[in-house]
Amino acid sequence: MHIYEYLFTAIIIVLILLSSSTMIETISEPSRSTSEKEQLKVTAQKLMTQLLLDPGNPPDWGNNIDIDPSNLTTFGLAKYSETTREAYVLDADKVLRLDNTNPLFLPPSSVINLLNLGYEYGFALEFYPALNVTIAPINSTSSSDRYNINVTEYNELPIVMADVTARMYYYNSSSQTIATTGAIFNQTGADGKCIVDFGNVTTEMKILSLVINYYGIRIVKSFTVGSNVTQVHLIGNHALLNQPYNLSSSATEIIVTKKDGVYTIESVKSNLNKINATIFELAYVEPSTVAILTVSEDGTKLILASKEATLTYSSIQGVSLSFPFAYSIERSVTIGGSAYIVRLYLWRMSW
Amino acid sequence: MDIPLKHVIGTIALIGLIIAAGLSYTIIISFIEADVNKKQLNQIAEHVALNLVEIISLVTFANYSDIYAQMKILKLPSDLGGKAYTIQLINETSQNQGYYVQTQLVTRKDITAKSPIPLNSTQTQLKLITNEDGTIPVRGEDTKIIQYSGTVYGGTHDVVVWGWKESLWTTRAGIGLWKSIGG
Repeated sequence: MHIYEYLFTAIIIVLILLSSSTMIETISEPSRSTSEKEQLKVTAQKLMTQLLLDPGNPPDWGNNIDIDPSNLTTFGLAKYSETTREAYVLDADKVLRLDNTNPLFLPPSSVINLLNLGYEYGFALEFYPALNVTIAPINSTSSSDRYNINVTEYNELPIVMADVTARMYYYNSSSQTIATTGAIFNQTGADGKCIVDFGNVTTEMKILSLVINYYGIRIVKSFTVGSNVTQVHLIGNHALLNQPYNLSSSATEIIVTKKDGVYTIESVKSNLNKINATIFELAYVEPSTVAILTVSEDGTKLILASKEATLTYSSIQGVSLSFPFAYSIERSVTIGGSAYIVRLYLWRMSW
Repeated sequence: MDIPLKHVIGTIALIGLIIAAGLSYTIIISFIEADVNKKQLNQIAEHVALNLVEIISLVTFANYSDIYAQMKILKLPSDLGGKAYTIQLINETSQNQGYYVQTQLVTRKDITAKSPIPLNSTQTQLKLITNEDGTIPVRGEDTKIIQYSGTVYGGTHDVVVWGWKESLWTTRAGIGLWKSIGG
Protein backbone atom coordinates (compact mmCIF):
# COMPACT_ATOMS: atom_id res chain seq x y z
CA MET A 1 0.00 0.00 0.00
CA HIS A 2 1.47 3.30 -1.06
CA ILE A 3 1.29 6.54 0.85
CA TYR A 4 -1.26 8.03 -1.60
CA GLU A 5 -3.61 5.12 -0.92
CA TYR A 6 -3.66 6.06 2.79
CA LEU A 7 -4.32 9.65 1.83
CA PHE A 8 -7.10 8.57 -0.52
CA THR A 9 -8.72 6.47 2.24
CA ALA A 10 -8.49 9.42 4.65
CA ILE A 11 -10.13 11.73 2.13
CA ILE A 12 -12.96 9.22 1.62
CA ILE A 13 -13.53 8.97 5.40
CA VAL A 14 -13.65 12.77 5.74
CA LEU A 15 -16.01 13.01 2.75
CA ILE A 16 -18.33 10.37 4.24
CA LEU A 17 -18.37 12.33 7.52
CA LEU A 18 -19.12 15.64 5.80
CA SER A 19 -21.80 14.26 3.46
CA SER A 20 -23.62 12.35 6.21
CA SER A 21 -23.61 15.44 8.47
CA THR A 22 -24.93 17.61 5.63
CA MET A 23 -27.63 15.04 4.83
CA ILE A 24 -28.82 14.88 8.44
CA GLU A 25 -28.83 18.67 8.64
CA THR A 26 -30.75 18.93 5.33
CA ILE A 27 -33.28 16.24 6.26
CA SER A 28 -34.15 17.88 9.60
CA GLU A 29 -34.24 21.44 8.18
CA PRO A 30 -37.81 21.44 6.70
CA SER A 31 -39.34 20.13 9.93
CA ARG A 32 -37.42 22.69 11.98
CA SER A 33 -38.42 25.50 9.62
CA THR A 34 -42.09 24.44 9.81
CA SER A 35 -41.80 24.28 13.56
CA GLU A 36 -40.55 27.89 13.70
CA LYS A 37 -43.47 29.11 11.59
CA GLU A 38 -45.91 27.07 13.64
CA GLN A 39 -44.47 28.59 16.79
CA LEU A 40 -44.94 32.12 15.38
CA LYS A 41 -48.57 31.20 14.67
CA VAL A 42 -49.16 30.08 18.26
CA THR A 43 -47.49 33.23 19.61
CA ALA A 44 -49.69 35.36 17.33
CA GLN A 45 -52.81 33.57 18.60
CA LYS A 46 -51.71 34.09 22.19
CA LEU A 47 -51.11 37.78 21.55
CA MET A 48 -54.43 38.19 19.74
CA THR A 49 -56.28 36.58 22.68
CA GLN A 50 -54.64 39.01 25.08
CA LEU A 51 -55.28 42.05 22.86
CA LEU A 52 -58.91 41.36 22.01
CA LEU A 53 -60.26 39.67 25.14
CA ASP A 54 -58.44 41.42 27.96
CA PRO A 55 -59.50 44.95 28.97
CA GLY A 56 -56.06 45.79 30.38
CA ASN A 57 -55.38 47.18 33.80
CA PRO A 58 -56.68 49.62 34.94
CA PRO A 59 -59.70 48.54 32.88
CA ASP A 60 -60.72 52.15 32.13
CA TRP A 61 -57.31 53.11 30.75
CA GLY A 62 -58.85 54.11 27.42
CA ASN A 63 -61.15 56.93 28.50
CA ASN A 64 -59.24 58.00 31.61
CA ILE A 65 -56.94 60.73 30.32
CA ASP A 66 -54.93 60.70 33.56
CA ILE A 67 -53.63 57.20 32.80
CA ASP A 68 -50.38 57.18 30.90
CA PRO A 69 -48.01 54.27 30.05
CA SER A 70 -46.32 54.53 33.46
CA ASN A 71 -49.45 53.51 35.38
CA LEU A 72 -50.72 50.95 32.89
CA THR A 73 -49.89 47.45 34.17
CA THR A 74 -51.61 45.20 31.60
CA PHE A 75 -52.35 45.90 27.96
CA GLY A 76 -55.61 44.82 26.33
CA LEU A 77 -58.19 46.49 24.11
CA ALA A 78 -61.44 44.77 25.16
CA LYS A 79 -64.31 46.90 26.36
CA TYR A 80 -64.78 46.64 30.10
CA SER A 81 -68.14 46.55 31.81
CA GLU A 82 -69.09 45.91 35.41
CA THR A 83 -72.06 43.82 34.29
CA THR A 84 -72.33 41.90 31.02
CA ARG A 85 -69.47 41.61 28.57
CA GLU A 86 -69.29 40.46 24.97
CA ALA A 87 -66.36 38.76 23.29
CA TYR A 88 -64.46 40.67 20.61
CA VAL A 89 -66.05 44.00 21.50
CA LEU A 90 -63.27 46.56 21.72
CA ASP A 91 -63.17 49.88 23.52
CA ALA A 92 -63.03 52.66 20.91
CA ASP A 93 -61.09 54.93 23.29
CA LYS A 94 -58.40 52.29 23.82
CA VAL A 95 -58.04 51.73 20.07
CA LEU A 96 -57.95 55.48 19.38
CA ARG A 97 -55.04 55.84 21.78
CA LEU A 98 -53.02 53.76 19.31
CA ASP A 99 -53.35 56.53 16.71
CA ASN A 100 -50.00 58.31 16.55
CA THR A 101 -51.68 61.67 15.89
CA ASN A 102 -53.57 61.39 19.19
CA PRO A 103 -52.05 63.48 22.01
CA LEU A 104 -52.63 60.48 24.35
CA PHE A 105 -50.83 58.11 21.98
CA LEU A 106 -49.46 55.00 23.66
CA PRO A 107 -45.89 54.45 22.44
CA PRO A 108 -45.15 50.97 20.98
CA SER A 109 -42.16 50.54 23.31
CA SER A 110 -44.57 50.63 26.30
CA VAL A 111 -46.93 48.16 24.65
CA ILE A 112 -44.05 45.79 23.82
CA ASN A 113 -42.95 45.94 27.44
CA LEU A 114 -46.49 45.36 28.77
CA LEU A 115 -46.98 42.44 26.39
CA ASN A 116 -43.65 41.03 27.53
CA LEU A 117 -42.36 40.69 23.97
CA GLY A 118 -38.87 41.96 24.75
CA TYR A 119 -36.56 42.33 21.80
CA GLU A 120 -37.60 39.00 20.35
CA TYR A 121 -40.71 39.98 18.40
CA GLY A 122 -42.03 42.88 16.39
CA PHE A 123 -45.70 43.42 15.65
CA ALA A 124 -48.16 45.60 13.78
CA LEU A 125 -51.90 45.99 14.28
CA GLU A 126 -54.22 47.09 11.54
CA PHE A 127 -57.81 48.22 12.21
CA TYR A 128 -60.14 48.80 9.29
CA PRO A 129 -63.94 48.76 8.72
CA ALA A 130 -65.46 45.47 7.59
CA LEU A 131 -66.80 47.18 4.46
CA ASN A 132 -65.07 49.73 2.28
CA VAL A 133 -67.24 52.86 2.06
CA THR A 134 -66.24 55.76 -0.17
CA ILE A 135 -68.07 58.88 -1.28
CA ALA A 136 -67.67 61.04 -4.38
CA PRO A 137 -69.43 64.37 -5.00
CA ILE A 138 -71.58 64.52 -8.13
CA ASN A 139 -70.90 67.92 -9.64
CA SER A 140 -73.97 68.30 -11.81
CA THR A 141 -74.22 71.89 -10.64
CA SER A 142 -71.82 73.68 -8.37
CA SER A 143 -74.56 74.51 -5.89
CA SER A 144 -75.74 70.98 -5.22
CA ASP A 145 -74.83 68.56 -2.49
CA ARG A 146 -75.24 65.19 -4.20
CA TYR A 147 -72.93 62.33 -3.38
CA ASN A 148 -72.33 58.92 -4.81
CA ILE A 149 -71.94 56.36 -2.00
CA ASN A 150 -69.93 53.29 -2.98
CA VAL A 151 -69.95 50.24 -0.71
CA THR A 152 -67.60 47.38 -1.58
CA GLU A 153 -65.70 44.70 0.17
CA TYR A 154 -61.91 44.86 0.01
CA ASN A 155 -61.61 42.89 -3.22
CA GLU A 156 -63.71 45.62 -4.88
CA LEU A 157 -66.77 43.37 -5.12
CA PRO A 158 -69.90 45.54 -4.75
CA ILE A 159 -72.12 45.19 -1.68
CA VAL A 160 -75.65 44.99 -3.02
CA MET A 161 -78.77 46.05 -1.09
CA ALA A 162 -76.93 47.59 1.83
CA ASP A 163 -79.12 50.04 3.76
CA VAL A 164 -77.64 53.53 3.72
CA THR A 165 -78.67 56.26 6.15
CA ALA A 166 -77.12 59.67 5.54
CA ARG A 167 -77.40 63.05 7.20
CA MET A 168 -75.47 66.24 6.69
CA TYR A 169 -74.44 68.50 9.57
CA TYR A 170 -73.34 72.05 8.89
CA TYR A 171 -72.71 75.34 10.62
CA ASN A 172 -75.48 77.86 10.08
CA SER A 173 -73.71 81.21 10.42
CA SER A 174 -76.90 83.27 10.61
CA SER A 175 -78.31 81.36 13.59
CA GLN A 176 -74.76 80.50 14.81
CA THR A 177 -75.76 76.91 15.47
CA ILE A 178 -74.91 73.50 14.08
CA ALA A 179 -77.84 72.56 11.88
CA THR A 180 -78.74 69.38 10.06
CA THR A 181 -80.51 68.31 6.93
CA GLY A 182 -83.18 65.65 7.04
CA ALA A 183 -82.03 62.02 7.12
CA ILE A 184 -81.86 60.27 3.75
CA PHE A 185 -82.51 56.53 3.47
CA ASN A 186 -81.39 54.61 0.43
CA GLN A 187 -80.12 51.20 -0.64
CA THR A 188 -77.11 50.28 -2.75
CA GLY A 189 -77.82 48.89 -6.21
CA ALA A 190 -76.26 46.04 -8.16
CA ASP A 191 -73.05 48.08 -8.55
CA GLY A 192 -72.84 48.69 -4.79
CA LYS A 193 -73.62 52.38 -5.31
CA CYS A 194 -76.39 54.79 -4.43
CA ILE A 195 -76.90 58.54 -4.51
CA VAL A 196 -77.78 60.80 -1.60
CA ASP A 197 -78.99 64.31 -2.41
CA PHE A 198 -79.07 67.03 0.26
CA GLY A 199 -80.09 69.86 -2.09
CA ASN A 200 -77.90 72.88 -1.59
CA VAL A 201 -75.96 73.46 1.63
CA THR A 202 -74.06 76.68 0.93
CA THR A 203 -71.22 76.49 3.42
CA GLU A 204 -67.81 74.87 3.57
CA MET A 205 -68.31 73.99 7.24
CA LYS A 206 -70.16 70.73 6.74
CA ILE A 207 -69.76 67.00 7.29
CA LEU A 208 -71.63 63.98 5.99
CA SER A 209 -72.56 61.23 8.47
CA LEU A 210 -73.29 57.78 7.10
CA VAL A 211 -74.52 54.52 8.54
CA ILE A 212 -74.30 51.44 6.36
CA ASN A 213 -76.15 48.34 7.46
CA TYR A 214 -75.59 45.16 5.52
CA TYR A 215 -77.48 42.30 7.16
CA GLY A 216 -76.31 43.34 10.63
CA ILE A 217 -72.82 44.52 9.65
CA ARG A 218 -72.89 48.17 10.69
CA ILE A 219 -70.40 50.74 9.47
CA VAL A 220 -70.46 54.35 10.66
CA LYS A 221 -68.45 56.97 8.78
CA SER A 222 -68.15 60.74 8.99
CA PHE A 223 -66.78 62.47 5.91
CA THR A 224 -65.52 66.05 5.92
CA VAL A 225 -67.18 67.32 2.76
CA GLY A 226 -66.53 71.01 3.44
CA SER A 227 -63.10 72.62 3.34
CA ASN A 228 -63.43 74.48 6.68
CA VAL A 229 -63.51 71.40 8.89
CA THR A 230 -60.79 70.47 11.37
CA GLN A 231 -60.53 67.02 12.91
CA VAL A 232 -59.66 66.62 16.57
CA HIS A 233 -59.65 63.58 18.87
CA LEU A 234 -62.42 62.30 21.11
CA ILE A 235 -61.30 60.21 24.10
CA GLY A 236 -63.95 59.41 26.68
CA ASN A 237 -65.67 62.71 27.35
CA HIS A 238 -62.68 64.79 26.32
CA ALA A 239 -61.96 66.52 23.05
CA LEU A 240 -58.20 66.67 22.51
CA LEU A 241 -56.67 69.17 20.14
CA ASN A 242 -53.24 68.98 18.55
CA GLN A 243 -53.03 72.78 18.50
CA PRO A 244 -54.75 75.38 20.70
CA TYR A 245 -58.20 76.53 19.58
CA ASN A 246 -60.86 78.51 21.34
CA LEU A 247 -64.01 76.44 20.99
CA SER A 248 -67.67 77.21 21.46
CA SER A 249 -69.11 76.15 24.82
CA SER A 250 -71.71 73.97 23.10
CA ALA A 251 -71.20 70.73 21.19
CA THR A 252 -73.45 68.52 19.09
CA GLU A 253 -73.17 64.78 19.67
CA ILE A 254 -74.00 62.65 16.66
CA ILE A 255 -75.63 59.44 17.82
CA VAL A 256 -76.73 56.38 15.89
CA THR A 257 -79.84 54.56 17.04
CA LYS A 258 -81.95 51.76 15.64
CA LYS A 259 -85.70 52.32 15.37
CA ASP A 260 -88.02 49.67 13.95
CA GLY A 261 -85.07 47.83 12.45
CA VAL A 262 -83.73 50.93 10.66
CA TYR A 263 -80.65 52.89 11.69
CA THR A 264 -81.16 56.60 12.14
CA ILE A 265 -78.71 59.40 12.81
CA GLU A 266 -79.77 61.81 15.54
CA SER A 267 -78.04 64.47 17.55
CA VAL A 268 -78.10 65.85 21.07
CA LYS A 269 -76.55 69.00 22.54
CA SER A 270 -73.94 68.96 25.26
CA ASN A 271 -71.86 71.55 27.09
CA LEU A 272 -68.18 71.83 26.39
CA ASN A 273 -65.89 73.10 29.15
CA LYS A 274 -62.34 74.23 28.60
CA ILE A 275 -59.77 72.38 30.74
CA ASN A 276 -56.74 73.93 29.09
CA ALA A 277 -55.73 75.24 25.65
CA THR A 278 -55.87 71.80 24.03
CA ILE A 279 -58.27 69.79 26.23
CA PHE A 280 -62.04 70.34 26.43
CA GLU A 281 -64.46 68.32 28.51
CA LEU A 282 -67.98 67.37 27.48
CA ALA A 283 -70.56 67.46 30.26
CA TYR A 284 -71.93 64.09 29.15
CA VAL A 285 -71.30 61.70 26.28
CA GLU A 286 -74.10 59.39 25.14
CA PRO A 287 -72.98 55.73 24.92
CA SER A 288 -74.04 55.62 21.25
CA THR A 289 -72.17 58.80 20.29
CA VAL A 290 -70.13 58.27 17.14
CA ALA A 291 -68.80 61.82 16.74
CA ILE A 292 -69.08 65.29 18.19
CA LEU A 293 -69.25 68.60 16.37
CA THR A 294 -68.50 72.08 17.60
CA VAL A 295 -67.22 75.33 16.11
CA SER A 296 -64.27 77.54 16.81
CA GLU A 297 -65.19 80.55 18.94
CA ASP A 298 -64.76 82.93 15.98
CA GLY A 299 -67.14 80.77 13.92
CA THR A 300 -64.68 80.11 11.10
CA LYS A 301 -64.00 76.37 11.62
CA LEU A 302 -66.22 73.39 12.14
CA ILE A 303 -64.55 70.98 14.57
CA LEU A 304 -65.18 67.24 14.17
CA ALA A 305 -64.10 64.60 16.67
CA SER A 306 -64.97 61.11 15.53
CA LYS A 307 -64.78 57.67 17.13
CA GLU A 308 -63.74 56.03 13.87
CA ALA A 309 -60.83 53.70 14.44
CA THR A 310 -59.15 53.10 11.08
CA LEU A 311 -55.46 52.99 11.87
CA THR A 312 -52.21 51.06 11.81
CA TYR A 313 -50.05 50.65 14.88
CA SER A 314 -46.60 49.19 14.53
CA SER A 315 -43.65 48.47 16.78
CA ILE A 316 -41.50 49.86 13.97
CA GLN A 317 -43.00 53.23 13.26
CA GLY A 318 -43.16 54.42 9.68
CA VAL A 319 -42.72 50.97 8.16
CA SER A 320 -45.36 49.98 5.62
CA LEU A 321 -47.27 46.77 6.21
CA SER A 322 -45.32 44.45 3.94
CA PHE A 323 -43.50 42.08 6.21
CA PRO A 324 -42.13 39.15 4.24
CA PHE A 325 -41.42 37.01 7.30
CA ALA A 326 -44.46 38.02 9.34
CA TYR A 327 -47.30 35.74 10.33
CA SER A 328 -50.65 37.49 10.10
CA ILE A 329 -53.90 36.63 11.82
CA GLU A 330 -57.19 38.51 11.66
CA ARG A 331 -60.43 38.68 13.64
CA SER A 332 -63.79 40.40 13.21
CA VAL A 333 -64.50 42.75 16.08
CA THR A 334 -66.96 45.46 17.05
CA ILE A 335 -65.68 48.92 17.91
CA GLY A 336 -68.23 51.50 19.00
CA GLY A 337 -71.03 49.41 17.46
CA SER A 338 -69.32 49.26 14.04
CA ALA A 339 -67.88 46.14 12.47
CA TYR A 340 -64.12 46.18 12.03
CA ILE A 341 -61.38 43.78 11.03
CA VAL A 342 -58.29 43.61 13.21
CA ARG A 343 -55.21 42.15 11.62
CA LEU A 344 -52.11 41.32 13.65
CA TYR A 345 -48.72 40.90 11.97
CA LEU A 346 -46.10 39.24 14.10
CA TRP A 347 -42.50 38.65 13.18
CA ARG A 348 -39.30 37.59 14.86
CA MET A 349 -36.61 40.20 15.16
CA SER A 350 -34.06 37.41 14.64
CA TRP A 351 -34.31 33.77 13.61
CA MET B 1 7.47 -10.54 8.72
CA ASP B 2 8.83 -7.08 8.25
CA ILE B 3 6.28 -4.32 8.16
CA PRO B 4 7.54 -1.05 6.80
CA LEU B 5 7.29 1.86 9.24
CA LYS B 6 5.21 3.88 6.78
CA HIS B 7 2.45 1.20 6.94
CA VAL B 8 2.40 1.30 10.74
CA ILE B 9 2.12 5.10 10.72
CA GLY B 10 -0.48 5.03 7.95
CA THR B 11 -2.64 2.41 9.67
CA ILE B 12 -2.46 4.20 13.03
CA ALA B 13 -3.34 7.50 11.31
CA LEU B 14 -6.30 5.88 9.58
CA ILE B 15 -7.57 4.33 12.81
CA GLY B 16 -7.17 7.74 14.50
CA LEU B 17 -9.04 9.40 11.69
CA ILE B 18 -11.89 6.89 11.91
CA ILE B 19 -12.18 7.47 15.67
CA ALA B 20 -12.07 11.27 15.16
CA ALA B 21 -14.71 11.01 12.41
CA GLY B 22 -16.91 8.90 14.68
CA LEU B 23 -16.57 11.41 17.51
CA SER B 24 -17.27 14.34 15.19
CA TYR B 25 -20.30 12.55 13.84
CA THR B 26 -21.59 11.93 17.38
CA ILE B 27 -21.03 15.57 18.31
CA ILE B 28 -22.82 16.81 15.18
CA ILE B 29 -25.74 14.41 15.74
CA SER B 30 -25.90 15.47 19.39
CA PHE B 31 -25.96 19.12 18.38
CA ILE B 32 -28.75 18.55 15.83
CA GLU B 33 -30.69 16.45 18.33
CA ALA B 34 -30.37 19.23 20.93
CA ASP B 35 -31.60 21.73 18.36
CA VAL B 36 -34.62 19.54 17.52
CA ASN B 37 -35.34 19.03 21.21
CA LYS B 38 -35.17 22.77 21.78
CA LYS B 39 -37.67 23.35 18.98
CA GLN B 40 -40.00 20.75 20.50
CA LEU B 41 -39.64 22.33 23.94
CA ASN B 42 -40.40 25.69 22.36
CA GLN B 43 -43.59 24.32 20.83
CA ILE B 44 -44.66 22.86 24.16
CA ALA B 45 -43.92 26.13 25.98
CA GLU B 46 -45.92 28.10 23.39
CA HIS B 47 -48.81 25.64 23.62
CA VAL B 48 -48.93 25.88 27.42
CA ALA B 49 -48.63 29.70 27.34
CA LEU B 50 -51.42 30.02 24.73
CA ASN B 51 -53.78 27.82 26.75
CA LEU B 52 -52.93 29.66 29.94
CA VAL B 53 -53.71 33.04 28.31
CA GLU B 54 -56.97 31.62 26.94
CA ILE B 55 -58.12 30.25 30.31
CA ILE B 56 -57.20 33.57 31.96
CA SER B 57 -59.32 35.42 29.37
CA LEU B 58 -62.21 33.03 29.96
CA VAL B 59 -62.07 33.42 33.74
CA THR B 60 -61.57 37.19 33.60
CA PHE B 61 -64.59 37.39 31.31
CA ALA B 62 -66.85 36.13 34.07
CA ASN B 63 -67.72 39.09 36.24
CA TYR B 64 -68.44 37.03 39.33
CA SER B 65 -66.28 35.26 41.90
CA ASP B 66 -66.49 31.53 42.46
CA ILE B 67 -65.08 28.91 44.79
CA TYR B 68 -64.30 26.66 41.84
CA ALA B 69 -61.61 26.95 39.21
CA GLN B 70 -61.87 26.61 35.44
CA MET B 71 -59.30 24.36 33.83
CA LYS B 72 -58.20 22.78 30.60
CA ILE B 73 -56.37 19.48 30.27
CA LEU B 74 -53.41 19.77 27.90
CA LYS B 75 -52.41 17.02 25.52
CA LEU B 76 -48.62 17.01 25.77
CA PRO B 77 -46.02 14.43 24.73
CA SER B 78 -45.00 12.19 27.62
CA ASP B 79 -41.31 12.58 26.71
CA LEU B 80 -39.05 14.00 24.01
CA GLY B 81 -37.24 11.13 22.36
CA GLY B 82 -37.21 9.21 25.62
CA LYS B 83 -36.11 12.23 27.66
CA ALA B 84 -38.27 13.64 30.45
CA TYR B 85 -38.94 17.38 30.62
CA THR B 86 -40.36 19.90 33.08
CA ILE B 87 -42.77 22.79 32.61
CA GLN B 88 -42.28 25.80 34.85
CA LEU B 89 -44.17 29.04 35.31
CA ILE B 90 -41.61 31.70 36.14
CA ASN B 91 -42.00 35.23 37.45
CA GLU B 92 -39.14 37.54 36.56
CA THR B 93 -41.04 40.82 36.62
CA SER B 94 -38.39 42.21 38.99
CA GLN B 95 -35.80 41.76 36.21
CA ASN B 96 -38.29 43.17 33.65
CA GLN B 97 -38.52 39.74 32.02
CA GLY B 98 -42.17 39.36 32.97
CA TYR B 99 -43.90 36.03 33.41
CA TYR B 100 -43.04 33.16 31.13
CA VAL B 101 -43.48 29.42 30.66
CA GLN B 102 -40.18 27.56 30.63
CA THR B 103 -39.69 24.01 29.43
CA GLN B 104 -36.48 22.13 30.13
CA LEU B 105 -35.03 18.67 29.64
CA VAL B 106 -34.52 17.00 33.02
CA THR B 107 -31.20 15.44 32.01
CA ARG B 108 -29.83 18.47 30.18
CA LYS B 109 -30.56 21.75 31.89
CA ASP B 110 -28.89 23.64 29.04
CA ILE B 111 -31.65 22.59 26.63
CA THR B 112 -34.42 24.94 27.56
CA ALA B 113 -37.11 27.04 25.88
CA LYS B 114 -39.40 29.77 27.06
CA SER B 115 -42.56 31.46 25.96
CA PRO B 116 -43.58 34.81 27.43
CA ILE B 117 -47.00 35.42 28.99
CA PRO B 118 -48.23 38.88 27.93
CA LEU B 119 -48.00 40.14 31.50
CA ASN B 120 -45.11 42.12 32.91
CA SER B 121 -46.30 43.41 36.25
CA THR B 122 -47.33 42.07 39.63
CA GLN B 123 -49.55 45.13 40.24
CA THR B 124 -52.52 43.61 38.43
CA GLN B 125 -55.71 41.80 39.32
CA LEU B 126 -54.19 38.65 37.87
CA LYS B 127 -51.94 36.60 40.15
CA LEU B 128 -50.00 33.84 38.42
CA ILE B 129 -48.96 31.07 40.82
CA THR B 130 -45.26 30.43 40.26
CA ASN B 131 -43.91 29.11 43.56
CA GLU B 132 -46.78 27.76 45.62
CA ASP B 133 -48.26 24.30 45.87
CA GLY B 134 -51.84 23.51 46.75
CA THR B 135 -55.14 22.11 45.59
CA ILE B 136 -58.25 23.68 44.15
CA PRO B 137 -61.61 22.04 43.35
CA VAL B 138 -63.48 22.05 40.06
CA ARG B 139 -67.29 22.32 39.87
CA GLY B 140 -69.10 19.01 39.48
CA GLU B 141 -66.05 16.86 40.17
CA ASP B 142 -65.90 14.93 43.45
CA THR B 143 -63.17 12.42 42.67
CA LYS B 144 -60.53 14.64 41.10
CA ILE B 145 -58.89 17.90 42.02
CA ILE B 146 -56.35 20.32 40.56
CA GLN B 147 -53.01 20.04 42.31
CA TYR B 148 -51.29 23.26 41.35
CA SER B 149 -47.59 23.96 41.40
CA GLY B 150 -45.06 26.25 39.77
CA THR B 151 -43.31 23.25 38.21
CA VAL B 152 -44.79 20.08 36.71
CA TYR B 153 -43.20 17.14 34.91
CA GLY B 154 -44.18 16.97 31.27
CA GLY B 155 -44.26 13.20 31.39
CA THR B 156 -47.00 13.30 33.98
CA HIS B 157 -50.43 12.65 32.55
CA ASP B 158 -53.11 15.31 32.65
CA VAL B 159 -51.15 18.52 32.90
CA VAL B 160 -53.66 21.37 33.22
CA VAL B 161 -53.80 25.13 32.99
CA TRP B 162 -56.30 26.65 35.41
CA GLY B 163 -57.82 29.97 36.35
CA TRP B 164 -59.85 30.97 39.37
CA LYS B 165 -61.78 34.19 39.94
CA GLU B 166 -61.14 34.40 43.65
CA SER B 167 -62.91 37.74 44.05
CA LEU B 168 -64.05 40.55 41.77
CA TRP B 169 -60.57 42.05 42.09
CA THR B 170 -58.37 38.97 42.09
CA THR B 171 -57.93 36.23 39.53
CA ARG B 172 -55.48 33.42 40.15
CA ALA B 173 -54.08 31.22 37.42
CA GLY B 174 -51.33 28.72 36.87
CA ILE B 175 -50.34 25.22 35.85
CA GLY B 176 -50.89 21.96 37.69
CA LEU B 177 -51.98 18.36 37.53
CA TRP B 178 -55.45 16.88 37.33
CA LYS B 179 -55.29 14.17 39.99
CA SER B 180 -57.55 11.84 41.90
CA ILE B 181 -58.33 13.00 45.42
CA GLY B 182 -55.96 11.18 47.78
CA GLY B 183 -54.09 9.60 44.88
